[in-house]
Amino acid sequence: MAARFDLNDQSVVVIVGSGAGGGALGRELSTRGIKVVCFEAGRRLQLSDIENDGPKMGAKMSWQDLRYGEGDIPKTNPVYSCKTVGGTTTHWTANCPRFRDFEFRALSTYGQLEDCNLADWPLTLKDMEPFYGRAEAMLGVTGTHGIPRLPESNNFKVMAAGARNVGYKDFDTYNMAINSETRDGRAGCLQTGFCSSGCFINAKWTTLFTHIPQAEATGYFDLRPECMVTQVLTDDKGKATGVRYVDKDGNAFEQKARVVCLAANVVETTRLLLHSNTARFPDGLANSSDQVGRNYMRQVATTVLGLMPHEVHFYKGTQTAGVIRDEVKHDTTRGFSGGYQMHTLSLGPERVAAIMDPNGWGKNYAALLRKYKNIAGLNVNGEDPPQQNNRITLHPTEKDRFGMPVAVVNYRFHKNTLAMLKHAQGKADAMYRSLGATEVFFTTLFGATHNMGTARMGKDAATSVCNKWGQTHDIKNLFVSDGSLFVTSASANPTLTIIALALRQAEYLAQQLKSGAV
Amino acid sequence: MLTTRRQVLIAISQLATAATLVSCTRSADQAAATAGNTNLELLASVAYDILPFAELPAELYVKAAQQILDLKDNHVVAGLEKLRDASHNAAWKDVPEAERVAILSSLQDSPFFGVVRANTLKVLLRDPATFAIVGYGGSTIQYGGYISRGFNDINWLPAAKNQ
Repeated sequence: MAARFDLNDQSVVVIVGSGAGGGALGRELSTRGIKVVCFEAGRRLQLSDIENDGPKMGAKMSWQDLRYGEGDIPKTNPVYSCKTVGGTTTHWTANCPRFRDFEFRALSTYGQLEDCNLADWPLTLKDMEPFYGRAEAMLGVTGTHGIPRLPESNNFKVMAAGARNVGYKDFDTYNMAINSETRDGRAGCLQTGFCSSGCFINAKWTTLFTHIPQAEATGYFDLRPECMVTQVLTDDKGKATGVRYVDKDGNAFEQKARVVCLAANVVETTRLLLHSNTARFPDGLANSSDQVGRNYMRQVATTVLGLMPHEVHFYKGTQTAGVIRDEVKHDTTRGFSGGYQMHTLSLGPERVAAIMDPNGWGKNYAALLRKYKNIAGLNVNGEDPPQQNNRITLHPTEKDRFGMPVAVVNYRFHKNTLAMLKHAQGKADAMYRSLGATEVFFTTLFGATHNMGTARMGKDAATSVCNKWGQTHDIKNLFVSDGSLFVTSASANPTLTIIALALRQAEYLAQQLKSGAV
Repeated sequence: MLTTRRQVLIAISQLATAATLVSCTRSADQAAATAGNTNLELLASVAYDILPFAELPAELYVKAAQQILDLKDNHVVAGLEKLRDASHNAAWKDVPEAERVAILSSLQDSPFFGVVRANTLKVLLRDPATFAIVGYGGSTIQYGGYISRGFNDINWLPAAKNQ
């Protein structure tokens, strides 16, 4: 049953965040009999709270506190993340690719790109394979461990036909953490089409209905929903001693801890590190390298909608169960470094209208929207190179209701990104037009859900924030356990890698606790 | 039966007038409502010009207009005055379509138009009545998804050749 640990219990591991990283780490530690207090800023939803309504579920799940964007991203809501138990695994569409071997070695493979901060990861695919394997088994990823893939939807069939026409070979319904049949106490997918609004039949894996209750069942896991951590506390010896947090009634508390792990998604993890500065750590925690907040990466992403000559009804079925992998390679004859995937994607009429024409109105616009049923869609997901000035900082004056400075996300497209976007849009355009599409629409302006890089791992404490276990170089009992750790973004959706890193970190942390090293 | 733009605008006018009459106590306000030129009616008919679906119930356009008024945005108040000036205070349902489109086009980069457009689309494109028009299924919880309702029934694509 769920545990409740004392505020003064100095033996607990505090985890901030209950999503992919925090949920996986919490389950692993508590299963080993390690006491965990897991803070989640959002509330805990039940299956019965889930509706097939994007805007309503967005209001229930998403992080809506003010954040600013500067550069080539939206000025407000520059990222899309969640504030709810389960974090962004409530919203994700459950794509689970592994990184390729070369994607862990971007610097060695591509060479340094102009004005970039490319580096190799301090670990390899070989190091990650056992953890990828365990993560895939836990999540029930289709196309792995003998688990059948999901069936082909109309939208997939359109993309696949276009893929054949342009000569692609490597496409299927992807590796998805969505049950294709009943498994592990969760139902098989009914093709409801609302993956990103929470899956009401629980076919889609989320920590909310798996790792969190499993962790609670150990008796070593104390989940505190609606509790916002506002500061990581450190002592004059430079060790983390706990966290300060505010509960739903606005009361502030301090929770003591032996170890603190930050898994609050990139913007909040970064904000906590920078905002927890002290006389000893004037530039924020774990920031002696000046890399905290830098190297912020999204993914090279563009949504493409093809207006097809006949009906598609792309909203029917899983939103993203479809991939083309032919462009996941390093081949500079295309005019850029790194690779990209294409995924099927479906959206409701409101989002489609915004993409078809963000300023449209009038008779012609209404006539265009009447063709919604003929739309096919895909999303490009590519490698975004790290840049020092793509950076999350704290607003100099503006504070939120907790007194924390508002985060400012600075992001500009690199020319490698622009070249990749152009290539990918050209390919997608050719695919849809080969099937008779009369118009093809693109957008690159949206709040990123894939956020990475602001507390990167590395061998050298002078140029990175964390070691290869996600332990900060500067503070031995402070860990980072989310996408902030990523050295490069690869072309893969990040969640599976976040979970694999958390499983790996849990093994290391358990050893460190046992040996008394932390 | 085909509904015309004129019929929709008249329905909007009647609804908006009724809604306004219920809430106004001053005779001057009642006169404005009956003359078909209240803020609610004006906004509802502008909402129709922004996304004209003749099949939609007039109530939906009035609902959008009410939500816009509820924002109490100064841009909206100022924009409505501009519209009245441009149309010489004629009731909007009586202004010829080409003229209305010309007036709205001249305002399309204004904050007023931005607020009205965004909120009109938000109300209309989240409503099941619009889903039916554009061919979107909406919520499937009550139907058990599309697993047996056509998620894979596409039949016009070229057949895959055997490799």
